[in-house]
Amino acid sequence: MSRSRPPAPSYREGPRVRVVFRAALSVEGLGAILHQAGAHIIDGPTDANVYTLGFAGAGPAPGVLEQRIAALRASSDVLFAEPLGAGNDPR
Amino acid sequence: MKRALPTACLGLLVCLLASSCTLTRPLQANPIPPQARADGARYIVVTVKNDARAQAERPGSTPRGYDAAGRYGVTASASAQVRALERDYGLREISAWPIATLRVHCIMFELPLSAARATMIARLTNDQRVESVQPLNQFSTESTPQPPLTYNDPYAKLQTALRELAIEAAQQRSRGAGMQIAVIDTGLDFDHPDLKGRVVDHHNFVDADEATFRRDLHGTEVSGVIAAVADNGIGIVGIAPDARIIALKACWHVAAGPAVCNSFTLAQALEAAIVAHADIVNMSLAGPPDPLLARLVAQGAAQGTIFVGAVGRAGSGNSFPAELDEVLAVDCAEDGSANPHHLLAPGHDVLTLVPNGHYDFASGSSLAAAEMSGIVALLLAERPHLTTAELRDLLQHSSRRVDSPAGEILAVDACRALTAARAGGRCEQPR
Repeated sequence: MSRSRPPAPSYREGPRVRVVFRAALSVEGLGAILHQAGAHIIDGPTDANVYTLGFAGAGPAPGVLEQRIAALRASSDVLFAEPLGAGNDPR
Repeated sequence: MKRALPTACLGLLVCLLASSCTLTRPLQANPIPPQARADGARYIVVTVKNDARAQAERPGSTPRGYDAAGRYGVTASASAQVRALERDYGLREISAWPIATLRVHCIMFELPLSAARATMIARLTNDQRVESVQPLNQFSTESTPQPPLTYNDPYAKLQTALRELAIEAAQQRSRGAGMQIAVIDTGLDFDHPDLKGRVVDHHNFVDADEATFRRDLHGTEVSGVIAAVADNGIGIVGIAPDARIIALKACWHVAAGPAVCNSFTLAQALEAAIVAHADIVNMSLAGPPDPLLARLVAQGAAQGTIFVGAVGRAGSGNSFPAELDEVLAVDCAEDGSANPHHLLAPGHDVLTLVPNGHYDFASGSSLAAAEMSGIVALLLAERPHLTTAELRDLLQHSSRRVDSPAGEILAVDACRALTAARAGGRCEQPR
């Protein structure tokens, strides 16, 4: 196949979430969102301001992950939040 | 027979109606009521002779400046005639002003409720007091309003390629309706909510594993770029959201790295696309030159099918089938291909679909090729008989430099290409 590559994640283990924050978000605001979600940045931003988030340790259980993604989406400073690895993802 | 009302009077009336003229001094007329602006059918425009001489602003004053010639007033005779016309015909003056240039007094009358406008005009035409009479005509400006396309898909604002490729403007003319695009790729999630109703057929030339077919990533990404449903309140917008997908699985994911395919599976998929009379075949893949596949592409092109292929990685030496004359070769605009035959579209951080109803950003010429297939669908929906050579020429000549998250890029402009293909019209970006 030809080229098709995602923003490269740093970690292979544990759930990951792709996120785009509002461009005007302050560092303090970003830190608060990450703290609330129990997440940390493992990659990004790309040119399109895309981040990949991971979770400390083994990461939250599936149900908990969905809740944390829902919490991210509820923030007006988060424009995009989607889990990774939903399909046959060779990444 | 009365003369038609002179153009100057009409022009100024239009200015009044459109409220778009900048005047150096105010017109000596009353404001036009909203009902006359909304519906002119109950109104007529009449002129009567008005031989007033220009006079200074005030008796004894010294005229100067723009008003040096004095104001042109309404004579007592003209005023009396207007009052008489109102009385005799049941008319009601709405607004009036003396036209110095024509030496007439111009009045907008409202008709009595019982009167038909044509009848009233006929009667007034024969009245010696009336210099001219005509309907209050409606005019319009000649720019076509372009209502902004406000997709209700929540992630559309993150699809920077929509702006870079002028897709919003292009989709005001075409959304690819009636086009069938064969996606020769991995399988894809044809149950993805943002592909609902878009995948009309699917075949698997790799195995019989339907579940894996639906979980395949690459084909889902490519198909989402091409045909994700627009304005469904979820996710993203496809480049050609009204086009239909025929999913032909010829490639499969491996443990790491890109998905792979071979001559045999690809040949079967090509044959299936040709037999299905697909309008477009998207091949977001690259490999070594392959005689069998080249023959099939040539056969499909002779039948009128348009092939779109992704340019392989720089230095890989794999540029087949994109290198074929019958294939539109597409590369990432951000990588700045030096090959003048390559068409360029954004390929970095392209937001698209992934299996199980989710979304993600992906990069590569695979995505750029998918964007181009969508644009070709927009063009073919308008001009179905365009050839590969004509499309290549249209798309190359439409290309322009645009800002992108990665900096300035050269990319095709779908709206300009559509305009050129239709030999007319205008291309305006939604505001």
